[in-house]
Amino acid sequence: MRPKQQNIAKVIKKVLACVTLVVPALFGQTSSAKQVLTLQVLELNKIDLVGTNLTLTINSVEPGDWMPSPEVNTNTTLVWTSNCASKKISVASSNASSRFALKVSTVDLSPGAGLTTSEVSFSDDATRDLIVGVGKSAGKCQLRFTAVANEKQGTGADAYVITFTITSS
Amino acid sequence: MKSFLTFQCVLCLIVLVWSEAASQFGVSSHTITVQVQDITGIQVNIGSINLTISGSDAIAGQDAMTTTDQSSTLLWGINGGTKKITAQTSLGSPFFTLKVVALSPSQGTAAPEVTLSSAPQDLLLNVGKSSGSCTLQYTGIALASQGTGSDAHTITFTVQAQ
Repeated sequence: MRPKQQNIAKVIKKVLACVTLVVPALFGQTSSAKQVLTLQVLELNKIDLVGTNLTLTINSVEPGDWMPSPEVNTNTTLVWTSNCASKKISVASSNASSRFALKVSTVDLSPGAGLTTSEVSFSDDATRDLIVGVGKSAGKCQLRFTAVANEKQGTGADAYVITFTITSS
Repeated sequence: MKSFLTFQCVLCLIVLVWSEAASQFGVSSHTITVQVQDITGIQVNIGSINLTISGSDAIAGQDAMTTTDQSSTLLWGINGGTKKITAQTSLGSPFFTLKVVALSPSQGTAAPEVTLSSAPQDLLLNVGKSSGSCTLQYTGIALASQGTGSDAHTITFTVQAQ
């Protein structure tokens, strides 16, 4: 074989070698790929109110004793989600010295979502327990607000900002 | 004069034939076979990702909390017949639910969203001879009742004959 032909043969061999080596390298010749994924769930507690601001108006009297009739409203729903055990839901009012009486209690509490306490009166701005034993769950209940006045208190209005909080027991 | 021109033509013809024969002196040939075998390449552009379910993923009153991730791209090169790509996790019994679906595949048909398990499940179908890609959408789902924790998955994507 002539030197020129030998050179050509060498070039062809190199090209073939490159094709043989590079093509599989480009594609890796692998038929599977792996990826590590970590799914982490952190502690979370969410609480919300479903409903609009309320106005409770006392404008009637109880027949017989002629005392002002209590006004009741159950239009608000309290909802929450917690993925941690041993939580409670407390309630507090912004009004430290109200003229009339306002109370709240729970109605139709989701089974297993917690235990309701007795009716809470907003006689001051202290924080009080409303639902205890809240576990890893999503729950809801209706809020029953009751406004009470007597005839000696006369007329007027009290404004409250009621805050519900989910905290550790 | 005419005979002189005829002689010149004959002479040129002889020179041409001789030069052609001379140029083919030492010519040889050999056969080159280029063989392309069945090649399958698949890769994920990100080695590891983290999905976190936190307070922002929860809605008060709902038990299920979800988070999604679309940061990963699956790439492949296939020169064989029609294939499919499957996905599976290394976790035999994950605590939380992890789903995956292929979005906007450049080739093939995306299978419906699947919950990852240790058994291979179809992710992409009818992938022909192509080099293509798709976005991987992961969805992590946890129930409030499941509490906190983490699952570490190694997810394997495999090209298989369909």
